[in-house]
Amino acid sequence: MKDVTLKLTPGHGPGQASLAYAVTAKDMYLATTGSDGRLFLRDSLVLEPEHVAKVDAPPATILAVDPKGKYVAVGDDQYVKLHKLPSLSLERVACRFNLTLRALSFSPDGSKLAAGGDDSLIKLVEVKEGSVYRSLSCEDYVLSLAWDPEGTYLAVVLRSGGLVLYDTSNGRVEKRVELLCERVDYSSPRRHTPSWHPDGGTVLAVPVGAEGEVVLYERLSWEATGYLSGEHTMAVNVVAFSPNGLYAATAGQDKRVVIWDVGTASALAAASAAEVISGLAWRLDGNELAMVGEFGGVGIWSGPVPKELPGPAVPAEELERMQQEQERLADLKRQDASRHGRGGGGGDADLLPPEGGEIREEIIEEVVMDTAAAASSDGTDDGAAEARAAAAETTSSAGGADVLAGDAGDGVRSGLTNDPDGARSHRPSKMAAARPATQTVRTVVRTIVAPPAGPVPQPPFQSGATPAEPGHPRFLCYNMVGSVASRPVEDHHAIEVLFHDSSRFSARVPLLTDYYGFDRASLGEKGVLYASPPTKGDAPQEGGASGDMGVPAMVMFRPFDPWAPNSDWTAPLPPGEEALCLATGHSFVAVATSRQLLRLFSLAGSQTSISRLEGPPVALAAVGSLLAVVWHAGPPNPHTKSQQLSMSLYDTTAMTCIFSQPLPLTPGSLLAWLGFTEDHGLPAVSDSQGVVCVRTPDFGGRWLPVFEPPADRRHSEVLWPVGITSNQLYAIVCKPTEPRPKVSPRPFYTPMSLAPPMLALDGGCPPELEGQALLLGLANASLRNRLEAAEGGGLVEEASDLNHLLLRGQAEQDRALLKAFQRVVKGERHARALEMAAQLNMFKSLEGALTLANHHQARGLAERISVFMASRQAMQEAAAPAPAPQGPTGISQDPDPYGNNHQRYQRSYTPIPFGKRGPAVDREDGAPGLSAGGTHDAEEQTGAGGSRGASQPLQPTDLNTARGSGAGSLTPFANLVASEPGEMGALSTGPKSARGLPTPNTLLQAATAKPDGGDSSHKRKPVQSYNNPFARKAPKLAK
Amino acid sequence: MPTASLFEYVAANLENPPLTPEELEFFAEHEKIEIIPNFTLNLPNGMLTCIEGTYGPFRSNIPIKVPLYLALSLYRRGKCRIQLPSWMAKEELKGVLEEERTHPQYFQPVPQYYVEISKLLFTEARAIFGSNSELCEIYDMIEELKKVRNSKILDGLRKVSGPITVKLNHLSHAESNKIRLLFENSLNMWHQLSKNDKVWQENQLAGNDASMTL
Repeated sequence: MKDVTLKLTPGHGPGQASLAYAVTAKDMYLATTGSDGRLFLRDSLVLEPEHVAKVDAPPATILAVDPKGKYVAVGDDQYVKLHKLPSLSLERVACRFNLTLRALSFSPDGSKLAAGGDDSLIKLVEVKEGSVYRSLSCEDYVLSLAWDPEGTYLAVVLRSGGLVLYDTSNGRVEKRVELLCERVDYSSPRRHTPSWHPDGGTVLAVPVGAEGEVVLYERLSWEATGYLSGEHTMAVNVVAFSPNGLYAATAGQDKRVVIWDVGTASALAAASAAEVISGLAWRLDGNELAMVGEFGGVGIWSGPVPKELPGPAVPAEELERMQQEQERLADLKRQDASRHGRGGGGGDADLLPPEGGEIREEIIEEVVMDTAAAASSDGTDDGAAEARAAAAETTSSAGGADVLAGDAGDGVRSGLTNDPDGARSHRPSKMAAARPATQTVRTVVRTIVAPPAGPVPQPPFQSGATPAEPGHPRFLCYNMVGSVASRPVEDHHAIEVLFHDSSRFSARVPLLTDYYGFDRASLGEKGVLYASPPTKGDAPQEGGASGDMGVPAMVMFRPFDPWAPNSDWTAPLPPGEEALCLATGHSFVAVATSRQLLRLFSLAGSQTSISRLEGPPVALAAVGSLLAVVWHAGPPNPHTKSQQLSMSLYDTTAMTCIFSQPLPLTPGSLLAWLGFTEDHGLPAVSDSQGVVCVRTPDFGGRWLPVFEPPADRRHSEVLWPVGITSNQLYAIVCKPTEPRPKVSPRPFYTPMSLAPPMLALDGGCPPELEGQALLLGLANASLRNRLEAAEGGGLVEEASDLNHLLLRGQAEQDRALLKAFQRVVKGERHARALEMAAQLNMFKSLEGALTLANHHQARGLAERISVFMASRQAMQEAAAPAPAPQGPTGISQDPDPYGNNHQRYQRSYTPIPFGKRGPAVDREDGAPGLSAGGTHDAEEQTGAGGSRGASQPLQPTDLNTARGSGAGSLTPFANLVASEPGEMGALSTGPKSARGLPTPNTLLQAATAKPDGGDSSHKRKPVQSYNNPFARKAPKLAK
Repeated sequence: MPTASLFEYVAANLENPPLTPEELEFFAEHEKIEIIPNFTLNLPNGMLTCIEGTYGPFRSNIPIKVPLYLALSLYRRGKCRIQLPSWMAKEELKGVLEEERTHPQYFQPVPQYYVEISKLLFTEARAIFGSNSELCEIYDMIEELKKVRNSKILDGLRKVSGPITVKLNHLSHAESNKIRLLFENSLNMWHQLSKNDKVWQENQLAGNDASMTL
């Protein structure tokens, strides 16, 4: 807030000065007086003196204008004299003091005048007769006087800093506060003028302390209910409420004038003057503040209250009318808003709830014995009169709870509790009314319930469901299996289940006539699970399915190919519980409910498990025996607006938790889809920005962003994910105007290649190639884990299948890597090329890399590759001391053929019969006959792995790891793998790396360190001993 | 050498035209159309190898383009949904028809086998048009299109009054086949006549009265 600089015109000499607006029948003047002993009646605009009078005993220190506009009372060193307005002719002497007058105050009806000064005596004068009718002794010098607008009390500020409140009717001290203000010197011109709120004197503002605060006292209880603070750096000299009480002006010894909004106790404007202000006066009919300084300067601050706010002199009726207008508008607004289901309670425009919040209103009716309570409600009521949501005394922070209490003790407005005006504009007309000891107080408590700070946690959802639109069909579930569509028919819904692959299921699923209003469904391979919300009846807590009682939430499962009749089952949930997320696996169905329970059922409906969820559920997904649960781990981060989600993966067959860890999404986005990769069963998520992530088991489980919507098409299409495989995303392409697929015509999904956001490095290798290799590596990693699981479980057949798949995948990965390798070699980035070659899985691929390097005349690279190959071979020989002679059926007969086979690159050490390599060494495609070599590789590594398994120390197990360690234990994926090889994936369970063995990277380091090491005989032709003895078995595995 | 009259030629060849509508329909069956199979082909890569080409991969609910004959035979077995070709969409047809009417001097581009494809779809795969009224609407529009184009062709034929080069862009196979016999031979006739006329005039100039006596 920037200070306005005020210019004061010299008027009176240095010393105390005083001013007041004088409204006569014809005109308005500004009456000023000062230490020069002159009394001016100035033009209220240009401050030109129009009438002058002189006092007899200068300095004149104080003046007061009769509220009726008949007299102006001036106090000087001895007398209080009444001058007629506007002529300023002396009317009479009101009273006489021995010492200097300091303070004058007319009673609100103008019939009485209080005068005080250094005489330690306050005289109450009957104006008409000019006779002192009461003297109040106060044992101290009086600095200021203020007569309550109700005429009851007289506030007196003493030079010692005390505040005394007299009851003027009987002269008794009502309240005494010692040492409230700063103590001032006898010669000091300070005033510490207090001010009553014009609205019936409900608040008394008194300057307090040396730090420039103003305390607001509540009437009757005389409790400090608020402060105007934070602006003045030194003690406040004068405080003055505006004519309508909305604002207060304070002038401090720091020579500043500050305008406050009384309702919120916040400063609205500030000005600085050249001298300490000794008197302030609000113009009675305009937005002007007149002031007089301690050096006699007189000035007017025009427009102290900002224009956009109601003026300081707008009468209360006008304010009320304006507020009613505002309320009417707000009501209209609220009616609009209430269509969205959030009609707040009553409140005025300023009480509109913040977004997401609401106003709660309750009416408390009680009989109180205590007048203080009634009075306190008056005080706060006043806060409401300022039409500010936060009463100064109750709130300093927006969004907190604000209690506005309206006293309806006099019964005038007691019925109007819904009308905010009833609480606000009501003012106890007679304070005596609040006096009776017993009264009924009806209090309207309006609480602004702040919205939860920051973003809202996302509601639970069902993957593949489209939002409900009344009267339109919608998908309850659309996934890679099929679709469940719900179509409204008259008073019920017809639910149709359609499979994408109609040949996989023998029977058509009959149309379901749905009277429950199922709003969630989960379609699995074995059946479809429905859930309905409870319908509210007249007595929802009674439960029961009878007509008007309301129907509880239901869960219903319909298996597709039951062998027994009555295999459908329906389960009503208890009242207060509602199914939020559903999932259907191969052997179980899962329901996450609003009571944060996770209920597991078998397919026929036996309840196998009930467990608590760690947080409110967000989504469920199931595949095979795996169940993924996403829940809110906490409120969303208010700064990044990111949801705090966590994900757990359970194996329902083995009853194990595979992992439980936070689920990171694109910052600020919501979870939009949850599922598994179709081929490997890795958990996958898509967020509201369309980024798809797959969880890889490496690094203890991390989320690899595998797909981002292409930036160039982001504005023309929206992808609605349906499923994902290890290299493709299946999504329905929707228009941005219609981001969800429609039931009719039946949507189809479009496969899109996954592309991790790789960087395009210089050197010519396109990022897609590297991304492809990365994805293939991911697929291989999961295959390897499944293979290990199968081996650990002793499932030899499956292991052999998987082995085959893995080798094919590795060949593919090598092909991608070799393509990238070739580009890099072409781009003359030999060091990077060597590192790429080190990532190759198969020895044969390395051979291809060597060929390529030679073809491109990269001698140094070729040498280093051959060094690398040699060290791999050496490693292989060291690891497998003697290839055991095995028969053609060695795999199935070997007692422990697939022992702990953790080394990732181990199979790559296997020598490859180079002699079989074709002569086409100059091929450009970079993948010379890899697929043929793959199976040979497989044979080799079985022998090698078996022999090493015993000697290898147990891995430091990762927390995520859930792998069978022996033949006896049931591996989590054995069931899965056995049921659907290649269809349903087992989950990769954690990083596997043989820390005891050197990895290709360590070999690579050795190769890069030695410039010319290694046996050059490996460069071109490997030794003959690498022959694979099991080559004959290859056709059997390649089925 | 006396040439056969146009009437004689057409009469002789009407029974044995160079290209029959049935043959055209056969050709049209090789046009590609998008289908959404509801099965996954259990063959390597899901590809189907036919004698004239390999199609696929057939994966459930993923659209692919196959020849019309394949689409129709799959459709008959309830194995796929045929996607309506984009040019058969109502809005598209309406636009083409409008343009066709407003520009009498040239033809709008339509698919080469639009007559055959629409006939096959109307007869074999009525369900792909959605409701019956949709079907009727599209059917009417295609018939209307055929009529408009036909009248244009006839108008054009009337204007042929000499040995001229006629450029017939965007004429579909069925349409060109319809006028081929007549049009080709009328032009040939004109050509012959003009040749004869030239010879006669030359003879006149040379004063050779042998031609006169012919």
